[in-house]
Amino acid sequence: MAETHIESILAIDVGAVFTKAILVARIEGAYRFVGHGEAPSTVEPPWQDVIAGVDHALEHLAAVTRRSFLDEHGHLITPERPDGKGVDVCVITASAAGPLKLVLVGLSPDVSVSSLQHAAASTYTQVADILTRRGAGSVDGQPVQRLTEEDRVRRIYRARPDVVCIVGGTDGGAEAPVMELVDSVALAASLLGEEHRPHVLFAGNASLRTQVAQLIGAEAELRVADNVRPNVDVESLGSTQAELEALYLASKAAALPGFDHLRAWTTLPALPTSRAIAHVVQYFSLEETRKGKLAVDVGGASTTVAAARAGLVQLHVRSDLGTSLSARNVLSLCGLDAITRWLPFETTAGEIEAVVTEKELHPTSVSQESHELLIEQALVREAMRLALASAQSSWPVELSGPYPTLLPYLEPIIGSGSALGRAPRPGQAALMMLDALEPIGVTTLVLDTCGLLPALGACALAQPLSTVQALGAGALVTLGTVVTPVGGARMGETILSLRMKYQNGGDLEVEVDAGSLEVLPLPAGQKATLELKPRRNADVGSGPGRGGKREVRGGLVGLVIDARGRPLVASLPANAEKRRERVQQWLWDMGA
Amino acid sequence: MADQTISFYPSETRAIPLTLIQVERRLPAKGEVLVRLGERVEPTDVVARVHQTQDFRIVDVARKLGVPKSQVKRFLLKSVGDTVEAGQPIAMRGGLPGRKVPAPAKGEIMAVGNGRVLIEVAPELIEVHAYLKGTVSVVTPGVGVVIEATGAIVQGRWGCGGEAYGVLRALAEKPDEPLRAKSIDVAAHGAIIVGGGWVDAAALEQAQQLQVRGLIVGSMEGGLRAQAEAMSFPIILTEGFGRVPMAEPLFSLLHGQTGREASISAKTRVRFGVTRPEILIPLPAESRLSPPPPPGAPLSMGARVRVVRPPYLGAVGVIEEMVAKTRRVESGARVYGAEVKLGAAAETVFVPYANLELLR
Repeated sequence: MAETHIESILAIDVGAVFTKAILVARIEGAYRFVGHGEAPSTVEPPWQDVIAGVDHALEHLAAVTRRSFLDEHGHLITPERPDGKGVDVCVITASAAGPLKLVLVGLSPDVSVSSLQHAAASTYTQVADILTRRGAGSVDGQPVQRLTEEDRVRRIYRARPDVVCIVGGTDGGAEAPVMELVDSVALAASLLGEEHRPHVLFAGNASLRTQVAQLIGAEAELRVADNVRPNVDVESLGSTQAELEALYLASKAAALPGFDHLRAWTTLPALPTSRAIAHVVQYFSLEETRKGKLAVDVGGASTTVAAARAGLVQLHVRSDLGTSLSARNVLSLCGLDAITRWLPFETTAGEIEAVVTEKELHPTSVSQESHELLIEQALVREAMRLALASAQSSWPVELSGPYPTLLPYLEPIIGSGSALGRAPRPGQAALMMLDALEPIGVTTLVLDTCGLLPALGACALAQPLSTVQALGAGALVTLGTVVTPVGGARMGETILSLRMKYQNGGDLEVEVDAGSLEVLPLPAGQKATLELKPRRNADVGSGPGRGGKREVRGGLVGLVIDARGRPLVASLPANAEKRRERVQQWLWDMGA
Repeated sequence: MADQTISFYPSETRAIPLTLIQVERRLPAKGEVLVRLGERVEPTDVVARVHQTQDFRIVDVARKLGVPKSQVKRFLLKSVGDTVEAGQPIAMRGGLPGRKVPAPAKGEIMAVGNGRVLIEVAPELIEVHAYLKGTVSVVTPGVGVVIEATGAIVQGRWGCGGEAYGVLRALAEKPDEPLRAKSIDVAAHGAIIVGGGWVDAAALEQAQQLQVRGLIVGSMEGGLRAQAEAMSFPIILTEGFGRVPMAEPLFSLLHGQTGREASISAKTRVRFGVTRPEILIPLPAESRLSPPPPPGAPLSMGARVRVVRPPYLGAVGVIEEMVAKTRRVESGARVYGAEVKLGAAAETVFVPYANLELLR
């Protein structure tokens, strides 16, 4: 089918908690987001059939759009019929499957294995073990010991990985030590037997590929990627990332019950949900190249951080951080105090335990009570903070900013995921994003209220124009512009003088004190000219002491002046009662 | 969003007084099934077993004998599958001086290749028990069996510990009666005790002292989770964490079966094979029964439901009205939901669809 004849695209995202169905169609010559339907995913018992959740989501979408998608046999109607039934194309994204379990094997923990870790973090993976030949160095702060062959084989055997990734040697460089590792992997694979036989991904010295293939032989299915370190100064991750994504789809997503039936609805390749999100962020980064772009998708089971600048995209997936199925991991990684610091009331460990368990057992359930909602939102903040911290540690210089410990200047910042998109009040979503991501300078907060990011990224497979036009037509919701001055003033001192001249008349002048959080009225659809005069060394995005004029857009929240300071947690009082008062004040300030 | 007719497909909890119970018992790896089709089994009977490799040793014979890897097989004294004792020679090279390679540990030779010998040591015997008193209805050779019985099924919400079987002993008279330490006396020894509302730390400790085989209760404070997980017996919460009475239909069913033998599993898994705690009580039936119907029904008027989140956590009721428009709840969220008539209080309350499950 020629791209130009595509009138309608159905995007299906099979998540760990929800299955979403999104319709994008050409209306008056341009692609628009038409509607979305969603239902709990049905991967697990008692359903154990992806299709049931897809049917339920399509039932919802049909009710919203008054359009039917399935024929009397339950098959997708494609292409679109003259009577408007069905769609021309279907695209599929998935994140419901468990992460790929990896064992990383390499020569040096500080060089090739470090690169491999970055590549592994770009999709849904869980690193079960890291084995290096050289004992020097450290991984995640833990010293790495030199291992005997027996140790290596034993650890691979016990990890029972889906994939053993081998790196080591620059192209044309080290051979014997790399082959020694490959030999251990081959032996471990033979021990694991048919039932647990892993895939082996070789991304080391390219001149060894033939020897590696001979040694691995029939013991495992071998895949080969470009060397992650073709030479010491160059890191090349794209090929390994692509292989891991392909393995995720082929060995994990494809094993989801009923996924093969869903795949039969389209000839286009399925995408991991995280990659589809990265496509959208990459598109934004090509449209405007001066500032970096950021999207954070907080799901029930995993959290994705996609950052891009001028087409260079950095994708980081934490399969262990989420708001429901992975909420317990968030709690155990950040600790109880990190959760309670965002709560305006006193609570107990038992109360937080109860909410975490409820979300684990019933991930689609909603908080009916404010206290439970605020505990859930505290978990969202910490999931985002943890994911961002690990993502930022691997960002290249193109995504670095003027302050090493803070985010770079970004525009826009997109928040996605049910916990953000369905926050009862826009101010709650905005405050979660501000507290977790701590942007600096001037930026726009954008909210993906319907979980469209994966769909829009995947639609590009069918028709790139559909992504561009649907985004341009406002598929995402603007929460507001945020101005964050950093440095240059003590708490309570004026840090910024601001004048906002509304496009439709009227203006507003405000003196902003360091430590404050303020929201000025600037409704969605309105524009204003903002004149910023920071105090002495305060930086509002143009460098210390530099102000200027800029045009800003309104949103559901308005114009937010976040002068609370960075890093934000440093501005939280140590005294628990005062801290709770401060947090309550921030919630009131944001209308949350 | 405009109002539409939207179906909601909830999860289900089962509390069925008499049905056909089928439990699958599988080995973790291919092994041996020890029972025949139609055989009657008791919960403690071993129905399948497998020896699983836990550890091994790699012996570099080529290096130790100083011979090329390709020639190692010529010098081996043992073959794949042979058992060896620690110190027993597994390879030898003649001549002066001759060299012997001893086995580093007792085990079985698993593989020979690339100049090395691989010896499996201390394989672990894994036995799968029948768990349920019943009849073997399916045998999959090398994999496992299905045990079938008639009886009651009750599903819990959260549990810790493994499986157990024993006699049910109800220690509460009402579903909201807390399980106190003083209620747990010597009669609880070796029994699966059933409380009402919630259990406290002292009662957990008392249950441990008296070596109960299992504990079923409505709820417990979240702060007790670590203590509960350290107990030597399985614990099942039918409602969850907090101070929540056991749902009345579940309490009535369990209370009514006091003195009967039951099999309980507290295994709880939230992903990758969702598993819920269960209580299975074999009971005689006059005719052959069918297994419970598969899930799939959307919520509808008249359906019996249970609430899974506060403020009505654990309450059981009947759907009186499927509300067509979204409503705002206390947290501020706008949600689709139903008017539910809650049993005990005969109160009708609005509950989001997402917080309801069918109670069968």
